[in-house]
Amino acid sequence: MRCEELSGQLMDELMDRSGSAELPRHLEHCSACREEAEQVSATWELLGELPPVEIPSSALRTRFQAALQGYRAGQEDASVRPSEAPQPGSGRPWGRPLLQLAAALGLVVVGLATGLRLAPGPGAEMGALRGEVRSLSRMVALSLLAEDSASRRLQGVSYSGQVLEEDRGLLDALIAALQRDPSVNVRLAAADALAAHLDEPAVRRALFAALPHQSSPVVQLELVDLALRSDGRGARLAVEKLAARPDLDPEVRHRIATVLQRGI
Amino acid sequence: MGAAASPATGDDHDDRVMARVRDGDLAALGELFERHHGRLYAFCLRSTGSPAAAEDLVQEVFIRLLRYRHGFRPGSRFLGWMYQTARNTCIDHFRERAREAPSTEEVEPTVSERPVALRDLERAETCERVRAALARLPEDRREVLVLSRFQQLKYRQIAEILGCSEGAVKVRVHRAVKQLREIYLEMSEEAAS
Repeated sequence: MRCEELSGQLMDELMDRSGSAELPRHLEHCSACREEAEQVSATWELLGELPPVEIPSSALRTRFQAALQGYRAGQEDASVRPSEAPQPGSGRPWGRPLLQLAAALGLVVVGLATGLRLAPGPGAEMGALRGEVRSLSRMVALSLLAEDSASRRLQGVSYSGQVLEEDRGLLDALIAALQRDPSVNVRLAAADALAAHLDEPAVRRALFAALPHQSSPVVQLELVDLALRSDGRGARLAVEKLAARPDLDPEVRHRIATVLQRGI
Repeated sequence: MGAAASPATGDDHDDRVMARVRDGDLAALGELFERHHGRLYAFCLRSTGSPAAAEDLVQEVFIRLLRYRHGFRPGSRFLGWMYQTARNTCIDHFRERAREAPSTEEVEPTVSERPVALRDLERAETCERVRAALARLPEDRREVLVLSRFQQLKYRQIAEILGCSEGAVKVRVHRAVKQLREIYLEMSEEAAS
């Protein structure tokens, strides 16, 4: 064995005792390699002193399941019109917080409508009550979006997307989540929610303004794909601006090249 | 790393499960999550030193596995693909952190590494210093050390993940250990003076 072979032999020995029998013989005669081997072995053993990592399985599992469920729901929304979309997990839908929230709001609406029917009043009163329900929905959505927990903010994005038709005021909240939320998953969910309103110029402008500033390749890919679904110079400019970034992920760069070649 | 699945078993099964995910059975990703979230969390924690960041990164890795599932080609090995995704995710994290607040993130102590009794103090100090020394290693060296020392991967598997030869992996690990030792000794001297 030569001194140049120390790395390979020593690392095999430390990993699983599979260094060759020549190693100890060499170390016996070569003081430089012996000293090196002793130091490296001691440091390797020192690393073994670190206690095992405690895995927060429960928290990780909760977040994973929420993300998986959100992703599948997003996939279904993309392929089926909202009114026709099957309810994910329809076997036990009322166990989910979001649906509980929706159910609570639904009960409020039904209660208000029943009250109005029992004591009919002028149309203006009905309008005011509708406004109150809308205000309540918005408060719930904005509260969820302001939570510290990324899972709760994900729920906020999902809920905002569901009630966006009735409350355009939540558009700004979703755009802000896409632009500034620290969690990639929340930004991704916000992009998915906004994608359903791609026909609106304000949504398109917001999506493409956010594109060059996104740091996550996953979100970048999502927005590039949305750009592909959208016509216009704004989409192309945003994609080109992103492509000019030197730190761009190779997969995103490849995707952009394909998109630009195909033409936006 | 008690929750980590054995790397030597179930590789073929993982490949088949991932193929199912790729072909549209998205719920099957749950099985891969159950088998690998522990080792991924440990990898991310050792790489970043931050439990909060590690939680976010594990989540991000599984989302990427889902979104890029069509990139899992027949004949690919899931384990290597998963670690490559985890590496890229960690690299993005470091880039983002560097842009936002360079060199300000401290290594967060985890509950298991706090001293619980006086007699454990010396050992706890040693552990803390080793963890701090790991945090000071350049990212690429820390990564190869974490993969080889804590993830129970063979050099062959690490070579596949890093895209280099087994020999190159051994040389990299050797250099990383030597540099870690230098940092550790420096820190010990600073503490003594």
